[in-house]
Amino acid sequence: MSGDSVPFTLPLAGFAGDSGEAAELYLELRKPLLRYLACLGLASDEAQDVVQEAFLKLHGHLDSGGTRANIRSWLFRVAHNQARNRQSSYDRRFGAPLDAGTEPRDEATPERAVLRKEESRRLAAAMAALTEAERECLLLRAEGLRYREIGEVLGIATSTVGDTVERAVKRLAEKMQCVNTKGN
Amino acid sequence: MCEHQRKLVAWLDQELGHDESAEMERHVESCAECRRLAAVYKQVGAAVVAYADEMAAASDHGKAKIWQAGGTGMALRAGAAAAVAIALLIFLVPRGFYSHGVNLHIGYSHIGYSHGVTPKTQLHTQQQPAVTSRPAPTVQEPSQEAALSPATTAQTARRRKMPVVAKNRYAGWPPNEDEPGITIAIPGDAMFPPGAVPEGVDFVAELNVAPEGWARQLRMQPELVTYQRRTR
Repeated sequence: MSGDSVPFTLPLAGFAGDSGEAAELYLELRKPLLRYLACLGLASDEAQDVVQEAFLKLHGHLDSGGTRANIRSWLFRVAHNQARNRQSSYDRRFGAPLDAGTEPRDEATPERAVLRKEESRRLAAAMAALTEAERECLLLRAEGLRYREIGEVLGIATSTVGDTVERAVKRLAEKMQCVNTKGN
Repeated sequence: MCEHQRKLVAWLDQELGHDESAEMERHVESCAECRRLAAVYKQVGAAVVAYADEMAAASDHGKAKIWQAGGTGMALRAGAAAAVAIALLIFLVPRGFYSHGVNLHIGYSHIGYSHGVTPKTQLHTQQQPAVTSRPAPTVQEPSQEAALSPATTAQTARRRKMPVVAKNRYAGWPPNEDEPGITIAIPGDAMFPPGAVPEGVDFVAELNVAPEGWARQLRMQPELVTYQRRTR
C-alpha cells in the first residue's frame, strides 16, 4: 500500500523507505498508546513524548533490519518500558490518577456530571484495587491486544496472561455488581 | 459452579481454539448462569475501555489546568518540549554533520508577535562548516517583510544572518569552546498559550553533541530576548 496519501506527522518525518508502513502504524496505534500511557499515570505531554520516542525507536528497529513480526506488541512494550522508566527515575508532578484533582471533562448538565463523576470514581477505585499486573493486562486487552501480545509487552507467558485477565475481570465484575446492588 | 465459567473470559476474548470455542458457544446457549456471567464480563470490558478513555481525557484536562495555573509545571513542560525538538533535530540531521566540530544554530523568527500576528513557526538552520567555536554574541532582528511574506532566496539569506542566541550568557555555565554545540531559541508563545509568558521571553536550549552523534549535554533556561533593529 502506498503511503502517499497518509498525512505525515513529525515523528515519522525521518522514516525513509518504510514511510507508508510506519505512517499507517502511527495512525493506527498512536491513540491506543496514548490511552494506555495515560492509564499508567503519564501526563498528556509525557505520553506524547513516549509515543514519539517509541516510533523513533521503531524507525531504528526497522532500519537495522529488525523483524516486522509483532510490531504492535513491540511498540507497546517499548512505550510501556519507557513509561515505567520515567516513573521510577523522577518524582511525578502531574498527570496523577483521577483521584488527585484531575476530573472528567465538563458534562451537559450538573446532575449528569455528578453521576458521571461518581461512576468514574468508583471505576477508578475498582481499577486501583487490582494488582499492577491485572490492571496492565486489562488495559492492554482494552486496546485490542491478544493474550500473546500482552504477554510480549509485559514479559510474561500467554497462559499467565489468560489467568490474570480472567482473575481481573472477575474481581472487577464482583465490585461492579456490588456497586450496582448497592445502587439499586 | 459450572466448570465452563472458568473459560468464559477467554471465550469472550476469542482466545480459545476452534473446537473449544464451538463447545463453549453451545454451552452458553443452554446455561442461563453462564449467559448472565458473559453479559457481566462484557460490561466489565466496556467499563475498562471507558476507564481508559476517561484517563486519557483527564490527562488532557490536567494539561489544561497546568497551562492555566502556570508555575513550575510550565517550565518542566517547556523542557520536555525542547528535549523532544532537540531529539528530533538530532535525528533528522545526518550524523556526519556533527563529526568535525560543526555548529548548528537554530533561530526562531517571531516577527509580528507584538503586532497581534500569529507568529509563524519557522525554524531556520545555519550551518557553519569548519568552525569550532561558537558564533559572536550578536542578536539581530530580521525585517518584518522577511517573516510575513513568502520566503525568497534573498530573504532566506538574510535570515541566515540572524544568530538568535548569543554565547556564554549563562551565569555559572563555563564556556566550552572546544566542543560543538546546538543552540535553539524557542519563543515562549510557541509552547504556551498567548499571554502565559511575558512578551519577548524565549526558551533557550543549548546542546553539545558528541562526534558519534549522541547528545552529551543539554542546558535550558528562559531567556529575555532583546532584538536590535535592523539598519538595512
